[in-house]
Amino acid sequence: MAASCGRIFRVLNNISISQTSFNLSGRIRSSYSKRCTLQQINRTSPSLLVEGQRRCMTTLQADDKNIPHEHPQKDIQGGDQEVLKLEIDTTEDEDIPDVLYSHLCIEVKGHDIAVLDSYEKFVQLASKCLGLTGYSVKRPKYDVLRRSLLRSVHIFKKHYVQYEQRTYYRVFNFTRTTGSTADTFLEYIQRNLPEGVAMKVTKHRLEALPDHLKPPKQKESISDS
Amino acid sequence: MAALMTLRKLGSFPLTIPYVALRGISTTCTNAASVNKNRLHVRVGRFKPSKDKSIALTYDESKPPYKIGLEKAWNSWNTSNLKGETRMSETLTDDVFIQNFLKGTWGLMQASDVVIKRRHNMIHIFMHILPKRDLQPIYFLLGYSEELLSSLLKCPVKLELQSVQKPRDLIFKYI
Repeated sequence: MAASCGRIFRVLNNISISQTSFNLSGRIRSSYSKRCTLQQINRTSPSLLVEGQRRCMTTLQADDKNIPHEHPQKDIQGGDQEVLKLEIDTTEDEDIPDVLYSHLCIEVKGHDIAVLDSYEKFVQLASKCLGLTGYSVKRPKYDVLRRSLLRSVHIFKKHYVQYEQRTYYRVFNFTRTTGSTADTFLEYIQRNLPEGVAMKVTKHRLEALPDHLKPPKQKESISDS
Repeated sequence: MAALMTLRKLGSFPLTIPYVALRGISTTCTNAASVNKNRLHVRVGRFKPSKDKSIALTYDESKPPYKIGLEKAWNSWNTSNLKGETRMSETLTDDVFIQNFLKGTWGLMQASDVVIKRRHNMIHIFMHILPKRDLQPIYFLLGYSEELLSSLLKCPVKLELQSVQKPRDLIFKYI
């Protein structure tokens, strides 16, 4: 899953992140002023996302130039003393808005209707827990492939035996999800897909109108008459 | 079990494979009347009872093919036989190859049929074995099977073994 957001935390020296309080949406300001070059990469496990939030990625890289060997615990006050500075810079990914899906369609097929029933319950529970909206399920009629064979080894042409292969279907629909929510949900669903069950996912993405189709901008000087 | 063991020694192919390896095929006979009628004509996967009840059968062997899906499960779980899915013959060929490979590698240590489950691009193989006193060869065979099957089938293969202390543990019925 490509991270739709990335945040590069520039942590100075060896300061631990727990010492500072921060929220995911904002920037951290602190009184530490020394520019640090430590950047930490810490990928979080696919967490259960609420719609609208993004996964955080912090990067930590050691810079050869400025790794000072001072004690990390510095006195905050005091102008002459070297103070650590904690800055958070967001990467370019932050500017890219999350993908929006108007409609997410998951078709599941299998031979065993009991397996599909239990998978339907699982998908419903998972979508409730993750806060997905617009859940609906359809149960199309199964498809059959039948072949007739002679029942008897010798003669008795009038009597046959039929073998059939059934394919049962379930269709799950979700409306209005974000890209990261959909990615997380689909990954969880697919990891727990039982053997012998096939899945097809259709995502309907919302795109901005292309430039050549947008109406020309009205000039302010034009007055309505 | 005894029936199957004698067949193995003769080198012939296990009887239950044709029905059990194919996924998703069920017979018409679900109600009692037609079940009785048709089962008389099916000769595969069924054993003739002996006079002194000396033939030992495992649970899988004791159930006839028309009970697959009801009291008996498949040996191979995959999506190739669903409508609109491909690779039916390749999957079946791979399954037969895996069964032959494991039969050749494990031989008489193999105590049950091989169950093959395909999830995503991985193949999980489940098997009962009769372990010997020395466990090192078993670990070697396990790693050897996994490595070779992975490289031959070009996908991750996981072999999961369950050991059975005595062959008598798997016997379900004497006929």
